[in-house]
Amino acid sequence: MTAHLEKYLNLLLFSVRGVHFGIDAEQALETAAYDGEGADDLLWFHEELEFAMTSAVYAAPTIITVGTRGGRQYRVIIDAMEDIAEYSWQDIRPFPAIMEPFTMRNGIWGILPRNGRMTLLVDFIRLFNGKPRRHRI
Amino acid sequence: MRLSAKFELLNVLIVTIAIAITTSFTLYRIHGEIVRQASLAQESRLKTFWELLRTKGGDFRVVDGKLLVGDYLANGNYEMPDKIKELFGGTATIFMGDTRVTTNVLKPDGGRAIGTKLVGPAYDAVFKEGKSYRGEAEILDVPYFTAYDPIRNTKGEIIGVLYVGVKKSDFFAVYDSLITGVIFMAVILAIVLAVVSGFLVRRSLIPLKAMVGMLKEITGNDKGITNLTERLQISGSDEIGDVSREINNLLEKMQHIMAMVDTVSKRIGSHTATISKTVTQHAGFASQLSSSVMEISSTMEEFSTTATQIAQHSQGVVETADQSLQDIKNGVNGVEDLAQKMREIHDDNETSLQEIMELGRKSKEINKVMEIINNIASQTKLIAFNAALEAASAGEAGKRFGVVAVEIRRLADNVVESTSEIEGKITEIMGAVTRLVMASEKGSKGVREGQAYSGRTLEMLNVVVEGGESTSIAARQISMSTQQQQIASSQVLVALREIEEGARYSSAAIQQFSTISNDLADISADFIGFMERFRLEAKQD
Repeated sequence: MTAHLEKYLNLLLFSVRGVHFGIDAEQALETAAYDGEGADDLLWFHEELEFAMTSAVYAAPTIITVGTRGGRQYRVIIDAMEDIAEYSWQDIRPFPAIMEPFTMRNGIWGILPRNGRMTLLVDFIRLFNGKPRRHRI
Repeated sequence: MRLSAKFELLNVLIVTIAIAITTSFTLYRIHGEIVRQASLAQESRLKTFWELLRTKGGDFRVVDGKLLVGDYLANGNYEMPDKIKELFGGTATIFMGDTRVTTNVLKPDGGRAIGTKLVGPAYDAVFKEGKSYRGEAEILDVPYFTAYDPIRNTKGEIIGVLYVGVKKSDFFAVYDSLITGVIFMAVILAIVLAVVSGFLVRRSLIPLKAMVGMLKEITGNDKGITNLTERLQISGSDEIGDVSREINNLLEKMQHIMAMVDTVSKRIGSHTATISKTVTQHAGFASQLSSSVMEISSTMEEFSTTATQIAQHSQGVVETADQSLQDIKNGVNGVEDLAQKMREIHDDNETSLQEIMELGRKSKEINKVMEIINNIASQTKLIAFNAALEAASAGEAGKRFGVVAVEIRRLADNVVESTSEIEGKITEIMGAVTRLVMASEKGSKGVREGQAYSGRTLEMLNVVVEGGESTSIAARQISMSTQQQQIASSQVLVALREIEEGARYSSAAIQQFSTISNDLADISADFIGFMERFRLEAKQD
């Protein structure tokens, strides 16, 4: 089991505005449908990731509950949740060392080439720990 | 022959005829009286003859070829004829039958004409008609005044004839000598009377000769100028004096008349010149008028031809208008049919639109169902995601569960995908329905507009029909008018031809009138020259 985990990483894949992302499935506690509720603890993924956009349209917004090591949970609205699958660590490419300090600031730690597209791998815990949080559950 | 000679000859002729008639009448009456006296004498002789015979007997009979008067034998007994000759002269005869049995008529040889026959009209009167005969008769080729009476017997049968007669020369000897004397005296008297009457006639005609001389002076036979100022010398109160007075009156009136004639002739001459000039101008006008009338006639002929063509064309227009009117009516019927069809299409379209809207409504219901299904699938997917997350967190133990979760998520994805496809199809259907509805509404709108157009078209066509009918009526009226115009132009053409003919006649008449006026001018000039031959005013000596 441990050997297997060392070789494979279980990723939850989704996309926001056409950009594909992936997170470690262990960081996702649950998913729920977003019905347009206006709760204060909901975080919009593109806002957290500081996309260069003022607004974004989500085709199939889904609330994903992220658990941190400190026991904190964040509810983040993502879009177009695609799959939960295992990928080999060998398929994952880290950022060049010169770019890593900048990408790591937003929790993006690697790239997964998949079906001819790039999937940015995001560490929610690092993302939320590295920035002040407006809402905390 | 001069009038005096005529009077003398007439006087002689009248005198001669008067004397001749008087003489002839006198001689005729004398001759008639002689004949009457001869007849009376014959009757007296014959009565005497009968009385002498009755002294011999009362009856006449023929016995043995002998004529007896009583017992007196007549045959060869010359007593009675000789007694008659002794008493009266002349001849006497007794006939037995038609044969002389006793007579004093002598033959050329001196013997008595016994045994000779009675012939001629006396025989016919006595023996054929049984009547007496009086008149002239030739006895032995000598003319006689005769008297014959039939001798009848006691039975009334004619058995003989009693005759007396006298030679005509015995009665007319004095008459013949009287004729010679009367004619001689008549000729002498005629000559004397002719000489006397000729003298008287010549004497009576002396004033007349004087008057003729004065008239010659007036008429100016020698000078050629008639002097109407002269007057006759009135010599007496007889007929010639009356004639002279009347001639003087006539000369007075003639002088006055000729003065008027002179004035009138001069005025006529002046007017004739004016007329001639006017006629010449009028001839020019008439010629111009004739030319103009000919041009008008030519134009009117063209106009008549054009009118005929217009009449024919107008008839064609009438037919075309009728055909157009019929076509328009057919068009109206077609538009009415079209409007009916469009109403049916509109109704059908409304029905289809209702069906389509019902279909859209049901598609929306399906879409709602699909949303529900999609929602369920999404929820299932989320559940599957959560299950997968749970399985992933369970490690090796949750792996099989994770496989199930993955399959469920894949099913959910398939459902979502299917529902998405269905939603897409439904969306397409909805879009199609919407477009169809819009198209149907547009079609309905188009149909309504078409109905409105067809209604307006129908109204316009009805107006056009009314216009077509008006056009047809107008075309007929135009046709009739053009026909009347054609007839009128023909009549005008006929009238113009008559005018043209009249203009020609007028031109010819004017030409003739011009000739006549020229002749009249010549005559007027001649007449003025003629009037110079009259002296109408006395000379101021």
